[in-house]
Amino acid sequence: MKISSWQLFWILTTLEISMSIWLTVSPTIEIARQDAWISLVVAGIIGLALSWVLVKVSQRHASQTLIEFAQTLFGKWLGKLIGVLYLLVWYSVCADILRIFSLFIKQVLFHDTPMWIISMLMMIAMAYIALVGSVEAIARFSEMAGPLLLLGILITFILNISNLRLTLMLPVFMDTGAMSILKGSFVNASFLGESMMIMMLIPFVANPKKILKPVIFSICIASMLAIITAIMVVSTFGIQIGSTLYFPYFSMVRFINYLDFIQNMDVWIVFIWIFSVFVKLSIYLFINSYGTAQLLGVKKWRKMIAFTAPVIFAATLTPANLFGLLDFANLVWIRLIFPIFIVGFPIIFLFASMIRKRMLAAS
Amino acid sequence: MKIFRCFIICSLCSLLLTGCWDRNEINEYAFWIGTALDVTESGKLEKSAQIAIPAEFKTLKGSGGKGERANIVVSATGSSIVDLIQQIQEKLPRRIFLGHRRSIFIGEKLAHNGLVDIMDQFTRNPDTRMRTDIFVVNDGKGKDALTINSPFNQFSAIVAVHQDRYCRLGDTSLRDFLLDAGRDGIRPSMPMIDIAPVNKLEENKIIEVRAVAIFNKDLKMVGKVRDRESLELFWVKGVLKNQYVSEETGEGSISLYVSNLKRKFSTTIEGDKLKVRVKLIGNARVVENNTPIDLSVSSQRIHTERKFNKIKAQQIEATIRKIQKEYGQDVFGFGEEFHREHPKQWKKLKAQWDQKFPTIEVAVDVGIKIQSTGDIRKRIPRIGARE
Repeated sequence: MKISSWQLFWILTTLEISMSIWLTVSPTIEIARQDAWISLVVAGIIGLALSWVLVKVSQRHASQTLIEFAQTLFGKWLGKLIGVLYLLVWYSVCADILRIFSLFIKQVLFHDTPMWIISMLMMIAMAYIALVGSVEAIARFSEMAGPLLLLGILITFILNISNLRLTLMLPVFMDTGAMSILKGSFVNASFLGESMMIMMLIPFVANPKKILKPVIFSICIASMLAIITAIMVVSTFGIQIGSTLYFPYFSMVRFINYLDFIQNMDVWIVFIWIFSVFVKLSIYLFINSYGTAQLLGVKKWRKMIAFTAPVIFAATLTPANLFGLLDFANLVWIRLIFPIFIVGFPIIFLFASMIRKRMLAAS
Repeated sequence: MKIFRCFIICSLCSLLLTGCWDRNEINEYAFWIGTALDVTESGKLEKSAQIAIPAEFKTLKGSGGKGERANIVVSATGSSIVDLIQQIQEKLPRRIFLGHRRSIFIGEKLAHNGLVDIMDQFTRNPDTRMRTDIFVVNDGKGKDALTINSPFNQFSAIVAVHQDRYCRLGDTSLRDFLLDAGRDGIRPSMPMIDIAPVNKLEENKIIEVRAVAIFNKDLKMVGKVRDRESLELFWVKGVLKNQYVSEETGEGSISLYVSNLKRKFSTTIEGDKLKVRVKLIGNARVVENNTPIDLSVSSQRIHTERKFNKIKAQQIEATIRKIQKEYGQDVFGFGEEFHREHPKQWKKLKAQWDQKFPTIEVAVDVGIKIQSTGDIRKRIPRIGARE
């Protein structure tokens, strides 16, 4: 059950892209207006810095998952508490994304199909890949889905060029100012912070010393695509329409009409996008199952899927509608999870781990 | 493992035992090609739909055309657009499919009443596409545009899209309209079509795209400009790509086909005075020359070019002044240029832009360059040459 560092790269790239260009562009445009792209550049820099911390933390405890090394660092009970908190975050994120995915598919393809059917089909596929192939199969799958996703997105970017009105990007900076730009950057930065899952994946990487480059690279690609998407959305729809669309990238793809015969590309993009969401959800299912098993001291972690999958599925059905979910992203993810679990704890881990090493060396 | 198998089998059963909710065969759909919106005498909203009848496609192609229409126009009246969709659905045996709608026609009366209330639906409804053309029907009802029976295409809604060469906005004009409506420094404008017949042959067959409707901030239509002036409007706005220009130069008329049209603004603020310099450029090919001038001779050509550009600049200045005086709406986007070049002052200007716009001093500079004189150099003697 080992993955190579470049497989890690594809996993991260695929799962970062899937949500960041789908959900973060329009909130950023809403705050930073035509300077959304600057916000996203700032977000990318924040994301890179965070990933560096995360990689350093993980590398210091390369043979342990977060659940284990939290206990080595802070003792059994405090460590377990931290583990529980992180698992709560990952359970909720997994349920949230599954819900967003199902609602989106319902909205664009199947109006009358009950949402839970879509969620359940996805859940079955997730449980299957986690059960039979675990992280290795997910990694291999993302090696296929990732390039496909990148290619699809690049093609849509190229075809959209004829729709652009670049004057809509002007004036730069003057309308918004530094504060709005910084404020706008948190949305995307917090989504890039999903790379915190490397703290769980590190024991499965064949060569943990070499993960810095792939991780940094994947964050770069994800934020680059988000920046291009923001520029494209602003100069296709302007800031008024661009900031109010739920899924601006998708609306942009629907708008493409190249030479009158390349149109309705949205179907293809949704098709590829489902792959990438699948990677994301199944890796979360894996992390949750494995982490819960470690926390409870269950030896055969695969058994835990029988617990995690139904729990996540049930949680998926709880929120009432799309607004509840976007509220989750705005209120819980950006205000609580981002500062505490993505920024705060990893930095504490890093310092704790350094202090511990020094203490061990001293004694 | 056993629990798992059980789980999977159960879920599979639940799938197989239920129906299929979104099964839709293509022959169960009614393809909605064009929409017309009008306001009735009593002030209610009237919506008409041009719906495709696929069975008629064949008979038309196979039997050499019986002159039957491959579409039907159905209408309904009510208070909101979506309420009307329900009413129209009730008149059709097939399920409405909006994804292929190509254009929207708005009756002039409704345009004068304002479009704020009908625009939301076009962006919100996930079944619609933003890539749609939109027109105001000059002096008429939108509904009449749908019943036009063009010999070129079954659907007048598609004909209108193809014919929108006037501004070459084509099917992005709904997006452009919404884009302008959302900005402070520009007011929306929209192409207009004429359906009133000019002669018997064209009656009920031809639509003309030859005017532009001007809207204000509240999306109420306040006026229109026609023909040459409307082309000039779109040139200054920066959306026109090519056009034929014909001017009397004093020694006879010259007609040019001008392409690669571009525009450039530069703005200055001097105290209270706002100034805009408009630079318009294009590459021209001579298509008609009724003057004794030999345009292949550089000295003569440059002279004529200058004269031509000067006349054109005066015309365009007059058009801009007319729009400033009569309608007072910044359809050209001068405000957006002020916004880009003077972002700080713009913050104060934008609130009072409608008052400021008529007072702007506009200077137009036309730079059409003759790059080809067509197939011949000077005119062939005795064919048109005045001797």
